[in-house]
Amino acid sequence: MNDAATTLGHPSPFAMGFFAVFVVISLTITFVAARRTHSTHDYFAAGGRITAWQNALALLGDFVAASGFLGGAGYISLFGVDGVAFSIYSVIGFSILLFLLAEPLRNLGKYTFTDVIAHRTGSNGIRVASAATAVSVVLMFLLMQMIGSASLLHLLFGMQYEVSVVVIGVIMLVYVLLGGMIAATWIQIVKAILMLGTVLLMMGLGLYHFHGDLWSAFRTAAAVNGEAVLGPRQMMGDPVQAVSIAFSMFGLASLPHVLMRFYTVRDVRVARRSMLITVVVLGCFQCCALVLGIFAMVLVGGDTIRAIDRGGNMAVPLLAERLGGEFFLAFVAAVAFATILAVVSGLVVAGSAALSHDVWTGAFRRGKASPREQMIVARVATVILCIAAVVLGILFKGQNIGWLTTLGSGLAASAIFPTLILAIYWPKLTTAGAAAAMLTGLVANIVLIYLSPLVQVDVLHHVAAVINLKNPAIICVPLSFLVAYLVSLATLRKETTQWYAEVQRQMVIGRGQA
Amino acid sequence: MADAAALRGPAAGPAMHQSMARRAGEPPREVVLGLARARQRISLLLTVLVSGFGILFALTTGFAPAAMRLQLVPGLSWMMVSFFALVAFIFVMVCIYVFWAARYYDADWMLSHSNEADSGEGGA
Repeated sequence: MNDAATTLGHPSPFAMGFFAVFVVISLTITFVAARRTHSTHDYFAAGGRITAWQNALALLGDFVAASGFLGGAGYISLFGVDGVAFSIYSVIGFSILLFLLAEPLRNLGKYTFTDVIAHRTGSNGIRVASAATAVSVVLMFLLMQMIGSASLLHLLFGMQYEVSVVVIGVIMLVYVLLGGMIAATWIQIVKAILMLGTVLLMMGLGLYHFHGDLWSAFRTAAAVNGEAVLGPRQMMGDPVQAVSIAFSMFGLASLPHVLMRFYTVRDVRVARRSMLITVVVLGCFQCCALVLGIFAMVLVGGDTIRAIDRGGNMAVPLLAERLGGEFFLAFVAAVAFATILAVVSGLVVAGSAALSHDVWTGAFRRGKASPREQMIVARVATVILCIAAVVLGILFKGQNIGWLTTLGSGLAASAIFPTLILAIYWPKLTTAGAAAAMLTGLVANIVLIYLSPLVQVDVLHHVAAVINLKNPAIICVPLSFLVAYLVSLATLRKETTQWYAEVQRQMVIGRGQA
Repeated sequence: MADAAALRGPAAGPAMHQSMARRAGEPPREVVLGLARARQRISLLLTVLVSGFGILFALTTGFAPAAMRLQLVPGLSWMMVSFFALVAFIFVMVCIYVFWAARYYDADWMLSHSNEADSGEGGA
């Protein structure tokens, strides 16, 4: 059953063909989107014309990057059910986003979450700190996607790593420079449909292999690999580690490129409906990822998976090859690549919005930039981000990128989430408190991750780490809340709570912005 | 600092601000604020429930890994049962929010249910 022979690692004409088809489709979408992109509202928010289902698919696409499609199932294929740590907290994170943030964000902001924080605090200066946090998160996720996709291209086509990074950089530049959020949204929608269809097809083929008995796969996995694969292990088997991973759900609810999606729909009702669809579909997807991981464990085998990629990220393509041969492998690999391309385009839009709308237009020009100027700056910011992603992608070649994921989501959890929550729900948050929370989240995350096994052991190859905690969210999130609370109380003025009454009203009925 | 015009609203008194709101075709301020607070309570309650059960799941797997490995039926461990149950619970909470609680947040619902106390103010 666990035949080690695989075509993965050898250039595949099928994969090249599927890859070319996807690039042609996405470039067509981009050129059509370019003709509909005339204003900053189109460039950053798709003109507010996205429907609930479209937004739901785009949200799903933005969120389920390669780490979800490949990494989650890949981890499960090697270590078993312990990998649901990746899945469950993403579903919880999205539900928290729906309950707490989606509607206030939609009603209080224009294009970014920084709009909300700046409006709430009445300070344009805070835009710089907030945008810096957003760009930091975006760059970390961009870097992760660039490294992952370049490695995938190298595996599929034998392309040199540096060339792969440049190719991806050029493609994502074209997507975003020409088509902005409209292109990014529709590419995400196409990719989400492909990905969901692929997952369902693999589920069907896998179930057929086990004669329709789903639990037979789990029983076989336990029989071959030991019953430990059906329970907690290194991720969920340690209470401190498990709770810290749970805290990452707050970061997943605060990712800048996800939050931007609420501004692409007409109003809060559409935003709410789209989130409902996203949570339900994401939950089903994560259940399927668990099953696919177990299928890969049984049908492919841990040794074969590790031989191709130690982290298990090739488990899903290898499973596709077992179920449908080289042709299906090529299709799934192309879908995985499409997944990455779509996510990087959304990330770049979010990053360029932070630089142009928040920093340039909001902070430096105090809202007085003309529409033409805003579009020029947005496009310049796009170019800068793409170049930065390519350069960093080349510099970080061969690095273990696991810490980047943790750093990015941890930063969102400890810098963005506390500030947003307090801005929306606490009358006494001041500008100083908001800035202090973001700075605390940024510094605490960087320091604690540097001291953790992720960097000390995995990157620097020390024997042990200073702090034996791979995910420091359990420390950083409460710390940011505490700092925001203390600094706000120390700098509180009467106008702060007076203004909050008006913000609370606008949170419900909107600011009246187009 | 903040929007000066909006600051003048609350400082000038609720009646003036309510009048401003009415002219814009918006629900009365007291209705909006009252329902905003109700919405906040519901949202926070649902968040606490969902995240609380998520953390409980983490604590259970962390402190009782052996128990979570036990199988309800062959091939289905208690950890898997907990995972599926938590996903189903989240679905239910989300549906409660969207189909029941969220109607309080729609401006037109508020407008149709608001109490028109001041008949002398300018209409929309």
